[in-house]
Amino acid sequence: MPEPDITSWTMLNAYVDGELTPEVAAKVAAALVADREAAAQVATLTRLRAAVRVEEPREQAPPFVLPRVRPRPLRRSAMAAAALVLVCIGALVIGLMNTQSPKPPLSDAIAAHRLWLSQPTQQQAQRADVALAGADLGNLPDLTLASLTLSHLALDLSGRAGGILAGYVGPNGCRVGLWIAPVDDALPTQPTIRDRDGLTIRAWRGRKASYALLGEGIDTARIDGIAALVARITGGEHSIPNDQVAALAEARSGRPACIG
Amino acid sequence: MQAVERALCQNWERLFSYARRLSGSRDAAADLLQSCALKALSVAPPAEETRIRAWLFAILRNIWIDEYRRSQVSAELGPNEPDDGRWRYDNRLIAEITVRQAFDRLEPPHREILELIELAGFRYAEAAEILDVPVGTVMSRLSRARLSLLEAIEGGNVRALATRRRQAS
Repeated sequence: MPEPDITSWTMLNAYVDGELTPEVAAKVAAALVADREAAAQVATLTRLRAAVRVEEPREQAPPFVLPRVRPRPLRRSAMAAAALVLVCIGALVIGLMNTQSPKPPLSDAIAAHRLWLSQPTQQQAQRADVALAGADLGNLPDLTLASLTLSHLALDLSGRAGGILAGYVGPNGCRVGLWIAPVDDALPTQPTIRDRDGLTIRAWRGRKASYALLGEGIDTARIDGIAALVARITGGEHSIPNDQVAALAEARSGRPACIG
Repeated sequence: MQAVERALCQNWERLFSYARRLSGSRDAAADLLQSCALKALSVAPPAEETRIRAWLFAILRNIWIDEYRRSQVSAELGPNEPDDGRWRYDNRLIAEITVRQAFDRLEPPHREILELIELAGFRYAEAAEILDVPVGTVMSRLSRARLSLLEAIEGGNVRALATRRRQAS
């Protein structure tokens, strides 16, 4: 005698639909051998399924046209994250507005040198002894050994630290600027290449001030020689080695004049 | 083409057929289909692409419930098992034409479950997800629907059968 629930109408429906587990389906199949009534129901269900499934949609669907969709609304978490980002950006902007944006190194020196280069004619040297804050400069370096004559002096107080540009002019009109500013610990103690913005620059720091030598189109050997000379003079070495003097002379005579 | 758009395109005809069964009119079905597409394109789909098809049918059905209000006819209407006595249905009457005519005489809930299982080809579990009912309910609802369909093919009447069952009990 088969179990009554195995051949129930609901169970037989699931059987013909293939929704039973293999074990249960096997039990149903075994029961159908002995239960003619259930077997007749399965036959009817099989035929019914086949007849229903051949039915096609009687009405043609409207054309496939997707509706215009507005941008998907942000979820609450996404909106919160977006708000947080906006708050952070706002705080950052306010913070930047409240603090002076740091300028790249030597920006003041370059600006002062450019200003000098923009002046059309050489001006009469205006010698002056400048007492820079925190620095005992004494007299500006005498660069006669490099055939340079002091012809320009500009005090720049626009920067936070302040600085002075001493402009030297060579025999062919080449202009070399010496920027003197308070000690900058980020600079090395020996003249180092700091070329920027089309200018040839050598910068270093001394015991009492920082220095930058600037020229436009100047020969690198010449500016290196001048920088070494300035470093010696400002470092308190008043006696210049003969080989350095010779190098300066060679650089001055062997290369074309600079642009500035 | 995105997964949802692809699924909409592939199931457009069948979704319309389902909407037609639910709503009972072509115009309402077309509106239902557009609402379904709009909704599907506006929300996040299931992560598993294989679930998108059933998800579309569920969306369509939920919109129908929300906007068109389902008929108050119970989905559990009709006998759960064949009438007492011998299996009396004549298989020779089961043909495409008789099935089609009988289909139209079914109550909407019965048409709906047959549409999902027989025509759309969903498994019981998928239909349960669409209808938001347990799998057991799908099984019993489907068996009732098929019995009602057989009754309709025989020219019988589901209500009369149910009445007879109540009178007998």
